[in-house]
Amino acid sequence: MNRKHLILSASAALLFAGCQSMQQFGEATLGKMDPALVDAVVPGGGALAKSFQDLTPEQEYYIGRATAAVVLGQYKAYDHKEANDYINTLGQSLAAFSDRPETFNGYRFHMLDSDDINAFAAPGGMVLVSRGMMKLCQNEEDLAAVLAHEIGHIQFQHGVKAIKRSRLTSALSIMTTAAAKEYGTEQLSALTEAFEGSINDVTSTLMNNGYGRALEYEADGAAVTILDRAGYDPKALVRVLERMEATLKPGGLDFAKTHPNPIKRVDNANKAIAATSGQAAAPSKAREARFARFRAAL
Amino acid sequence: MNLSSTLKTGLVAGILMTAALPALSAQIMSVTAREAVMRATPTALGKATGKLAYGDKVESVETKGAWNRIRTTANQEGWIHNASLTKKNIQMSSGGAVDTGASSGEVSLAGKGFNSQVEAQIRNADNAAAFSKVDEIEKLTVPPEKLQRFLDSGDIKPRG
Repeated sequence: MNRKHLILSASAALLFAGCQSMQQFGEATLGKMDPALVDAVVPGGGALAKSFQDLTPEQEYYIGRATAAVVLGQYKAYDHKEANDYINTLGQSLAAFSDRPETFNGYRFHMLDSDDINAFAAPGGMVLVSRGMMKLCQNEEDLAAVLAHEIGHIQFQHGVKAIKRSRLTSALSIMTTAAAKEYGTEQLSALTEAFEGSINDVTSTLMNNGYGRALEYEADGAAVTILDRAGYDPKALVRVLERMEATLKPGGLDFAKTHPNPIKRVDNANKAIAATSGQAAAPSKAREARFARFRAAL
Repeated sequence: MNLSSTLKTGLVAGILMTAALPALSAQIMSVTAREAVMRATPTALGKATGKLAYGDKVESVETKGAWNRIRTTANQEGWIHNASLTKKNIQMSSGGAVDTGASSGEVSLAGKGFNSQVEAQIRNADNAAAFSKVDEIEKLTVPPEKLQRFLDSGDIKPRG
């Protein structure tokens, strides 16, 4: 485990309290609940343990904010205004064509000042991409493919899917008690623990373990669909993946660590592409020029 | 078997009446985006004709693919994507009894659970700069018209 890893784990440990007896606390709080209220929130008033699907878009947004804050604590933002405006506009144009065009607070795209090849999709819509990742793109189509893939992760809520069930059970049980405008100390403390645990689950997935092959394939599938609908060449995704294969160092700390073999993803992507028009957009001097300006800013 | 003529008349009358009635049983839905765009057409970058807020109640009048033509409480109409609506009743009031509303009986309490109060608990000197940056990035909104112009000026022609 190298230095960067140690620092991340240490700060994660300091920042986020461990999950002690969430289940017990949840049950203790449950006892104080108004049964009518429970029935109103959960049909049948039965087991409260649910999945990420019970998180409201607003809660997903707060999880996303805190996730992005962890990423931005690890990597500095790259503040070139025009370059960020370009990827933000491109990204939001693409998101409009996804199966989830609007999240609670919408999609945002911004760069990180790192030569590592990395991209992080915070739940709720904030996408942070490294300069290293941007440099892999040779044209706007490639860039669209990278951003569309990240949109795919948000569309399918892959980030919040990483949250352990026990965190959500606790949070939901507290939600149902609240008639007061703000939480009392005990409730707030339990919610905060659940929140911290949830952020830890999400950032571990994004930054250390990766989503796993199945979810990556799902995001690739979404990317192909988005690209095709928006009018970009879906084959750009395959080009980027092949370039990644050529560039990534095995055992590296970046993309290679958190993602499955690019070549396997190529096979999967090609299957999805076969179902599309698969057409490239007509060449465009204007498009090339704006990409060149972007590239120069990296 | 021969249905009696009275029964047949009753059936026909019933069917006709149901067809003639306005959509009394129309689906009431809640908006799931803080600022949802209402569009003139059921297309990704269709002309924006209005905005709706999180928790707003709308009536779904027509569906087309993944799109809903909705009517607002102010009687405005427009198209919104499925993903920006939920059958759950997003209950906006922060106090008092929970109104289960007209729809599926499932209620989501807005502002509950992970919210700004909870976020405030985890903010400290170490992550202050990072959260400030998140706030800054969130402000980078792009007006809907600018998105269409971006694609147009790059000679990108949407297919779906």
